[in-house]
Amino acid sequence: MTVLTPRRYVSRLGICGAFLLLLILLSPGIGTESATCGWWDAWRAKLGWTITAEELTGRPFADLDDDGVISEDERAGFVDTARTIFDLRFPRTLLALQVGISLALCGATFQILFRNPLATPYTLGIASGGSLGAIIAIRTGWGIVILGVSTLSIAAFVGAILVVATVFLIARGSRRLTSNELLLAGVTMGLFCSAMMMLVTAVSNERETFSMVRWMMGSLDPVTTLQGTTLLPLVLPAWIVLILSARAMNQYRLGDELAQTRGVGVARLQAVCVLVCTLAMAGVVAKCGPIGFVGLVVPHMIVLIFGSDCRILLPASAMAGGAFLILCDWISQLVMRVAGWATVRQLGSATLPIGVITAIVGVPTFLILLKTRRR
Amino acid sequence: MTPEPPPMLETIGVRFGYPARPSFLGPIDLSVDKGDCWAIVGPNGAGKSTLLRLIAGLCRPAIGRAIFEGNDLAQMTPRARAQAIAFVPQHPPTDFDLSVRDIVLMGRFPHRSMGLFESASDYRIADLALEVTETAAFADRPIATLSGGEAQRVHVAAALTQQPRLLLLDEPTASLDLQHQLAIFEILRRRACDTGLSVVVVTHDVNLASHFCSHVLLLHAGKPVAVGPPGEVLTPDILGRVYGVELELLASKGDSDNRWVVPVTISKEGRG
Repeated sequence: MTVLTPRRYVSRLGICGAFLLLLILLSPGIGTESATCGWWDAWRAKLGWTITAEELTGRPFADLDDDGVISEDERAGFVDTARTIFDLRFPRTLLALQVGISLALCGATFQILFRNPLATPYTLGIASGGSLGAIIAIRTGWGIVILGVSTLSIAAFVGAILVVATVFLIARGSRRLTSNELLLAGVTMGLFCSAMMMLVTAVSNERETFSMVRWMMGSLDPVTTLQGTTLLPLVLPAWIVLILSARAMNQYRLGDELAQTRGVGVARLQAVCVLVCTLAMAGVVAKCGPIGFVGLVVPHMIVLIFGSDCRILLPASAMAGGAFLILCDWISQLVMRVAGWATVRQLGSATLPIGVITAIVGVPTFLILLKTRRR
Repeated sequence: MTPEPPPMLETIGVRFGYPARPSFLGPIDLSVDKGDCWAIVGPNGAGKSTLLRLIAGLCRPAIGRAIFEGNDLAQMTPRARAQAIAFVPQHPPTDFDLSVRDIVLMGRFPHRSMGLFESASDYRIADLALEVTETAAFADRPIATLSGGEAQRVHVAAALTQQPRLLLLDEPTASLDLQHQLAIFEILRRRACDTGLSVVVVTHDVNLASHFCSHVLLLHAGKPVAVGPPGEVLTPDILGRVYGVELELLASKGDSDNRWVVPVTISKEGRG
């Protein structure tokens, strides 16, 4: 490890940022039917740049009547299609970006705060609480959408917040986050919620059970731009607070005593971080279900690549988390088409559950890094 | 006649206790002046580290007040305290991939509220501390690869980099070899003489304390037994009573300042 200089900082985060930007640029070209139109066409159509009929020669689906000539109507139709494709795919990428950033950032923060490398954003029971809320909502059939937020999401959000509040009530008195009491309370509440989920599932019919199981796998299924940004008010405070706390967290890693005598308000740092993380994670779980693995693995990958200085670890984890989830989302959309295993009709969805992909991609990547970059 | 300036650190009737042993420590009345080098000595469990934690502001006295430069320690903000008082814990953590230089530079934290990076002057201060503690040779190694004694010196360097006016150390020589035990105390004494740094050090080594410190506080079961210059406190008689051992006093080369106490046997009466 070498000292973090501004040059190293900029170059490292620059690499992450450039990679992430590339993914975002390419994202409108990736989907369950990516042959239809490429990322460049989608961007051009969305931004209102002219696409001439000559340019479209050879593009699949541009020549609708198959006469080898692209008419003005066909050109306009292609632009319309491209714009629609952009509107379907780009918000989904933005959502993956927000969710990935939040998961990785909160995961890294919890690993530091709890001084436990196995901590995840869900350690305090947020995922189980959110899932229980969502499952109850599915069972009782509250399917209304208000202002782009479904009652399902609201139930999940409330469930997640309630569980974290309960965990803190149980572990009250031992205010130190590193104490096992808090972790045990979180794990126990998680187990309790799982049992309650089984109970609710047991008294549900087939259709409801199917929705529940699907929900539990996590998904980034179609959102509009408006719906996609509803997460921002919840996750943005976490991003700002956590990244600005990087230097204080470096001190925190030296232990409570040293951090305190260096001027870090340890209790306040813990309280503020847990608060913003809980809000962000409850929002993520409510929106997308319990997407696992990103919060555990991405921070570890970044530590192995860039070291554990929080000034680089936190922002790099955030960007890597966003990139990781966007990539996993691509895979989940492309794999079915590439493998040609099954049609949309058979499964009810053309994409694999994102939670499965994050594990399939994350585990080997992490193991390879662990083997090759051991310090 | 000018009035005597107030001491840098003053504890007035400070008492402290844990739930299991309420009001076990104190009352302690201590007065540390600028440039003083204090040693807190005493048997295991005498409350030495607790007293040090109280002075560091890590816990608040149950009764009494600790005044630092005219301000109540408990009322100071963590940052204001950190800019004036540095603390070296007994077992500083070393399980990091951070380099020695990183750890030492982190001592600049209280002095830089904004900005992500250390400035050139921060680097100079850190380099100086690395040099003084003889840790510059492994400045770029991860701290996890160092031995216990080396890591302890790195944390002393980090505390010096903090540029405190009062430096608190909890058994800084516990895992050091003979040479570096002397070296650490020599650094502390030189800093106290040259820059007016005040030092309070918890130690088990009564001989090092008696040679390098200007004042000694001897604690026993939370109560101060003797306070004063080492020559008056660290006598075989007092130490023998507190520790329950018989000691021999060696005065070498006829120099009355160069005295060593050597434990001989456990005394038959046990602890006094």
